[in-house]
Amino acid sequence: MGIAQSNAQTTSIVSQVNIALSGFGGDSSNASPAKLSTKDVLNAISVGDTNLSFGKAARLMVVVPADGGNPTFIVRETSGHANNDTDVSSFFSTDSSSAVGDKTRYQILSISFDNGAGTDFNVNGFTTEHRGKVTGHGTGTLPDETTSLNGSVLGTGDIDGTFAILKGTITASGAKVEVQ
Amino acid sequence: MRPKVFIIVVALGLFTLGSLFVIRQSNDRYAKTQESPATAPGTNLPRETLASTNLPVVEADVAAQSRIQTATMPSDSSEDAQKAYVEQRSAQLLEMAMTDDRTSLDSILSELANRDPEIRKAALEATIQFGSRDAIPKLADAASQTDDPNEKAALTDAIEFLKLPSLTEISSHSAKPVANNSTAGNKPANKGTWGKRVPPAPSPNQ
Repeated sequence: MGIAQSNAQTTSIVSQVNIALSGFGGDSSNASPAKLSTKDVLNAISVGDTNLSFGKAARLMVVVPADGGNPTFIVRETSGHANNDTDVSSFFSTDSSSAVGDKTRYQILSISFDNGAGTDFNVNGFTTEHRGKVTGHGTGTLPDETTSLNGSVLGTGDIDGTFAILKGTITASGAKVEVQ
Repeated sequence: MRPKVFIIVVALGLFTLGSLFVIRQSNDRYAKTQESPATAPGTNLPRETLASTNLPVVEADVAAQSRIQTATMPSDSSEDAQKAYVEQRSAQLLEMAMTDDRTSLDSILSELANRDPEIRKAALEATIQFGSRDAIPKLADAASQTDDPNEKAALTDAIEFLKLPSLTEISSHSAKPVANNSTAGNKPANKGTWGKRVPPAPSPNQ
């Protein structure tokens, strides 16, 4: 089945992003453990931009054009079958090294986040990307797209204004084709 | 001679009866398997689909399962169906992880014992993202029951992760709670033990 597409629409691969970072925050005389998950990042976005407020079932998603291009980050809230997406790309930046491999690709992924209000991180690390068929409701199947991505990362950041050393995982999964 | 012949006849008779009994038991078990509900416990998959995967089967059912496996050799469509199911279930679990309701957490935790390792992995990720310390006893149970050292380590890591204070908890309790010594103020962090490495300049002889 082909992919329905018009000039104004873009076919994209949309995946859920899961962030799980932990580490120690402090200064030259103290170190205390802390963690940062996707829910914390969504809360931090709301703190950084008080115009943004997300419901309890909000999800952080990454949207990558099917034919390649820069990813965008959205927060998706679903009510019934309707999705309400908010673009939060301005809080994130990403980069990656050249990748090696075909169906399974290996690369160094860098991802940073800054809410502009004291919470930020800049992490990178070894990332495994699986590629294969991705489908979507009424959009057909695309044969060679990122189905999941799993990064073991480390780096530094600030947790609520306190410097922190962080490690953890950042994953993208549940890839679906969407025409947007 | 007669007693010996008698003993041989009795032994042959007992052997024949025993064989018939074993064959009958085996046939009954096979018939029951074919009449049983179409779904396997713990999954919503048809048994045929499950049989086409490498998932472990209940020991008592091994003989029957092996026959089903022979009867329904793995095909691309059943593999695709299994893969699609695993992807769909994994996505559902991660969606549930972003909610705050106890029912979702229970559903996620129930999948920590799923036969499919991919679903177990998604359930663990979902448990981490859900972020509730109520999950710790179930994670500890799962860790004690698995023989896979990698899975055990992942479950133990998840327990340690959940024990940590989250950014949201830190923010809600105080402005700068990460430093646990209130007299410390905002001292800058020390430079790393290893500074930036600069390659030595080549010696003039080289």
